[in-house]
Amino acid sequence: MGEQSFPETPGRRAAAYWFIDGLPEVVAGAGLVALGGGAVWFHQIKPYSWPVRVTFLVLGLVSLMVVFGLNRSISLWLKSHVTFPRTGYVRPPCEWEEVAEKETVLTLGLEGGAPPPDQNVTRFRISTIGVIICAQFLAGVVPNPFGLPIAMSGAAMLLYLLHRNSERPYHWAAVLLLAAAGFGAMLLRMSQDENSWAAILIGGVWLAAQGAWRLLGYVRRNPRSGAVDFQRQ
Amino acid sequence: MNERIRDISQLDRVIHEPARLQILMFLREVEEADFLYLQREGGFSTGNLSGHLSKLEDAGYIRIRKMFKGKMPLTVCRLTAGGEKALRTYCEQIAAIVQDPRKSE
Repeated sequence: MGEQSFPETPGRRAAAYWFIDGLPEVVAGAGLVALGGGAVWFHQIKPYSWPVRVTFLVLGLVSLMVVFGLNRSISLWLKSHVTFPRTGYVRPPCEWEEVAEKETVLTLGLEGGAPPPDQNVTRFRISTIGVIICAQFLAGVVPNPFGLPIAMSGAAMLLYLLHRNSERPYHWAAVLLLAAAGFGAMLLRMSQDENSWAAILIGGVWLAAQGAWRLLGYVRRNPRSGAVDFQRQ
Repeated sequence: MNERIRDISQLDRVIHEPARLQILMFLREVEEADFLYLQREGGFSTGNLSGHLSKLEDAGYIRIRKMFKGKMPLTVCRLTAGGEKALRTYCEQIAAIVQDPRKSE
């Protein structure tokens, strides 16, 4: 999705602006990759020494912090170096912390209408990362070898439906790739535990790839220009 | 009818300019935006936008402050309460002026 399909009103456009460079997706995706990849690796090598186990634990905690706590701060830091010098800075109408309190968040996207412009970050955390986390549970519950294909297909469908009217809709071909990855991973014959974490890993890789593709397009479309600033006339 | 047309002269001249109206309408829908973002959204040249922002700031309709995001200096503009009120009044005046008299009868 390019800039040309941005929403029309300034408020909605400002909210969608958070996703213009793909950086939030890259950051969240990297966190999920570290979390899922670390967990799959842990299950494969099954370490007995405590230092190794503690290292995995720390990696897991840091990944969780990146995904849930520091996503916004890291994205903002990256945006200050990549996005703001290219296309400027705008703050959407309402900060996400305030929105998180509202119960409307629970019905996001399900009502079919366009979500309010101020639900960009909250929406992203609930309906993108949340869906991938749900896929993890599903992959751990459904018996092998159908866990991953069912979980990833379900996640792909949900991501497409929940986001179709949002500031960041996903293309049907992109979510099809996510579902296909679930079927591909079935061939690896992983254990039930590994399956569950592999869902996070696949979701993370998919999300980071979506972000990276978007970032590439954004950087190509918007070469860094000379500093433009306000001068009193 | 004449009275309504005469009301045109009562319009706020700071706002009654397409570029400045565009800036105010845009800022009304966001919390704040920086110079570069406004420039891209409105398709203004640097000097043009600078001039309009100065006029709006002098009228007290917007607040301009310099800040940093990381190492990047940003000139951030925000609509003031006075600016919002003036914009609302302007919109009401325009609506009253262009209202079809036959409909209100």
